Amino acid sequence: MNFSEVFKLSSLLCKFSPDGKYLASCVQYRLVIRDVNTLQILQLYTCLDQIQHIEWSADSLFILCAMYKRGLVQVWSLEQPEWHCRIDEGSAGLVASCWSPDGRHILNTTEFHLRITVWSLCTKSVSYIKYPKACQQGITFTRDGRYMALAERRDCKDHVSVFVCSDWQLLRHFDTETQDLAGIEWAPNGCVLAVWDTCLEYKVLLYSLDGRLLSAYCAYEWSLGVKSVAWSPSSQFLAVGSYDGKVRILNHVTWKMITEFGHPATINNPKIVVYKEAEKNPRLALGRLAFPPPRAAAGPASTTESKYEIASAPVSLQTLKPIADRANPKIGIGALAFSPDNYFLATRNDSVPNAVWIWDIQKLRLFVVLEQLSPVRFFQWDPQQPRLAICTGGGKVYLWSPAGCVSVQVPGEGDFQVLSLCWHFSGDSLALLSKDHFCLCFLETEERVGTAFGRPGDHT
Amino acid sequence: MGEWMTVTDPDLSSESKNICQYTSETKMSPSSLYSQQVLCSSIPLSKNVHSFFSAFCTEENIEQSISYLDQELTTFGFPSLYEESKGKDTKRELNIVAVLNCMNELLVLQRKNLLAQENVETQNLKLGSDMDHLQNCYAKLKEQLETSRREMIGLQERDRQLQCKNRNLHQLLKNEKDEVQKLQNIIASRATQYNHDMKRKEREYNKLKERLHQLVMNKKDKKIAMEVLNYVGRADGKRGSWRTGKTEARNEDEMYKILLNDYEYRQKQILMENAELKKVLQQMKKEMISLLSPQKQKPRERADDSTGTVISDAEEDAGELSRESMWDLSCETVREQLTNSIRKQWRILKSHVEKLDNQVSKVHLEGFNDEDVISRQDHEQETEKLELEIQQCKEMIKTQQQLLQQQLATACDDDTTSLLRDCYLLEEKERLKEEWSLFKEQKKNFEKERRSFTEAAIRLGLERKAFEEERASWLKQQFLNMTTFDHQNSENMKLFSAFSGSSDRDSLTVHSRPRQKKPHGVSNGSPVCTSKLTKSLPASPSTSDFCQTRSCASEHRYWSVGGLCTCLSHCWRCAAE
Repeated sequence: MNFSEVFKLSSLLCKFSPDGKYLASCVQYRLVIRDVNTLQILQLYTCLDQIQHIEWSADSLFILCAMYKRGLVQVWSLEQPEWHCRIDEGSAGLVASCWSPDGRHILNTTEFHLRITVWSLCTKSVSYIKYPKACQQGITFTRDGRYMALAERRDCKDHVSVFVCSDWQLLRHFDTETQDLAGIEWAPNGCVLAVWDTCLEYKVLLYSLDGRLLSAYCAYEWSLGVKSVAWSPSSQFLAVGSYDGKVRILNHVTWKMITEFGHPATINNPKIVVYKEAEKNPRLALGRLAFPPPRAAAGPASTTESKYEIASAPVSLQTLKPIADRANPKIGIGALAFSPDNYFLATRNDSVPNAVWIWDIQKLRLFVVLEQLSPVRFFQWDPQQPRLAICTGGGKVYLWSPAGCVSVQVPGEGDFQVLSLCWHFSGDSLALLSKDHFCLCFLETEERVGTAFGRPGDHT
Repeated sequence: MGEWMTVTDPDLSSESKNICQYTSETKMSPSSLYSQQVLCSSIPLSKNVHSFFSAFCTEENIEQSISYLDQELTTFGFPSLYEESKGKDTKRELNIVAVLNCMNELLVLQRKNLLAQENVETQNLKLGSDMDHLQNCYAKLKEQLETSRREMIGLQERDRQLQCKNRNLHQLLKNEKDEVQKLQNIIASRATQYNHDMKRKEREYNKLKERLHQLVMNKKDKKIAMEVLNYVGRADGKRGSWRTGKTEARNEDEMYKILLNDYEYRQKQILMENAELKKVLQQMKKEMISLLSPQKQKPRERADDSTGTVISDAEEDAGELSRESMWDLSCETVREQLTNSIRKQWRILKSHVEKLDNQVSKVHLEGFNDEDVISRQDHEQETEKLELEIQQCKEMIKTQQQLLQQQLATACDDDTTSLLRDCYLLEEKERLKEEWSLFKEQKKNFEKERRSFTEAAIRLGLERKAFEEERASWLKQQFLNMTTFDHQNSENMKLFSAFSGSSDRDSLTVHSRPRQKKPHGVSNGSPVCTSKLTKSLPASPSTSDFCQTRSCASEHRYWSVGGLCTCLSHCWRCAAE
């Protein structure tokens, strides 16, 4: 595992281009485009203000930089550096900006969710979509980029509009049986739309592309409901994480629940491997004390090395007692993600913040639990193979694969606190983002991975 | 009672004394009189001095006292002390016999009274102690009663308290329930109010939004604009098309196409899965039929069995199998047929396996009974032991002989020393001679024993030879009958069970033993085979896992098809083995 040098970064804005050739990162009001392999700066664009959001177009030809404070969007072309485009939303303001899947339209959401403006880069045409709903996830595109579903709120009722992205024509418009719709998500095959209600009510609705209600699912009533939803890449399963600390897996044939994954704080089954992160004894530190003491004193926790130990059968995980009288209690399944090959599901229970559960979807049972020393901030699957990268806001990045798991210290002077990470689509490299720096982590190729991951070696 | 005693006492003593005095006066000699007087005087002296002076009877008043006594006695019902007077004028004479009789009677009475008194006294004592005991008991019981009463009161108090508590708790519960109800109502009302407010607010918000929208959009905001250096081409290289009704229709078409494709894809998948499952079922059925058909001949003997009817079905199915092309024909009929036949076969297999299980358990039981018969191995062990003993005995004899000879030799050779020792060796020599003779006798006995042992060994060898021959002949027979193996085995089984079932084992068992043994140990005949089969059957994930995998498969199609098939076929192979 190799690490690149550390580069400057602001607001965690660092993205690989969809084709995997470029890496865009922002430093204040500058946008830097690098070559992924050489890390040399290819382009440097200067925006009008501090950049708050960047997004690559699907064809990797353009990149948009949003400056919400100024209501501005600037678009840059990689092929023609002199080409530029500036979209000003004026007094309407701007809260969100995104590309349409064709990479030629930009969807800007104005303040107060008054409307969505669709700007075209090909023609002068501008379209408006009224009544977008302000919610967790109100816009979703099908994977093939053909359709867009948009959550709307009209006359105190939730609606969903399905648009054809090629000409922004309204294809379907239907109202949903939700109290206060919280999110929508297309299945990867683009034929089913999952709609879930606000956290006050457990309700998941499944609509066909043509607006028919396929099924409605409700696990329980009178309690906080859905917290997170994820489709399996095969569109076969819909995982619904809820505030009761359970993940329910629905199947695509009957849309009924197949199984329920509870997240108990104690793990008694000896078949389940529990990897526990443990600090290594910093004995060696005494032997080689650097003369000018490094800044390690600032954060000794982040510089001590750690390793994984396999905990024996009854393991009790650290749980957090939720504060009952505050909004957004730290309970329930806050994050869940399927591995790209559908074999695994990684989840995080917010009341057990240090642990990541990995479920075997083939056998529909718990497979591995990783318990970190500090709360898990983010995890993401390798797009190519079942390999999970985890960061906890410390100086280490953690990788899990069915072969085992490793904890890797990010080298470099000072502490590099990994707040977020993103995979290169090839799975060969990984961008690690800290508050104002980022670096790339290059993973070994196949033959060397075996040795790198061979540590516990009891799993294949 | 005490009074009474004091009254009677002086009376008696005085009377006796009087009589005494009287007799001494009248009849006794002076010497005796004297002694009497001394005796008499000594008694009153020691006892009662006062009787002397104020006695009842004195010399002067004898007559009066006698008459008084007579009167008293007659009033008490005694006969008169006087003789029966013949005339009125004549003075009445004292009848001494009557006096004596009276005295005797009085004495007897006195004794009786004393005895009665004693009895009464003891009884009184007894009664007194009884009384005491009872009083004690009474006191104790009273105490007990008191304590239990107190206890009862305590318990009642507690009961009361608990009831009170219970009532309170009930009240509390009721209150809580009311509270809950109230809160629920409040929640409900709040929820409705909240919803209402929300709606109101949202409406207001929408109005405001609308206003804002108008304001923002109507101002002809110069700022809302896009500056582009030059417009770029579409990603697909085509030019944008006009929106017309046509495009709308096209979009619809496309959408339906996508949906159709998805459904077609899913249908194809399901079809594939179905085909796979069908194939597995078919194979299963085929193998089941092939496995069960040879065993069908056996139940034919037992015509009463229900399986007899199945044979024809099986044959039918076998005939059906040849028309495999039929599987691709109409779906429902085929499905029904297939499931029905599989179910039937499965039932047969199940009953068969159960039967085998029963047989195996029976065989096991019989195996335990069989242990009464001495096995060949035991025989061999016994003979070996005996031979070893013989060997030991021989060796002992030999050493003893050697020792004796040595001793004798030394005794004969050294004459001088023997002469020297003669004085004390003579006796020893004689003793040795005696021992020698004894040894000789022992030796003879041992030899006799040896002979008998060797005879026994020879006999054993003969027996073994006969046994071996018999075995060989049996093996041959077995080998020859190999073609009708199953049949033979079943017969063997029956024979075996029949034999081991009989309780008494005499000459019959001795003869049948080798024959029984061998099917058990040598050939892998039916009992072993069945046990293997039944062992492998429950171990293989036959029924339960099958169901599980099936239920799993229905939900979990994505990968299950291939896996299920392999699993099923694996199960099946296990079962077939």
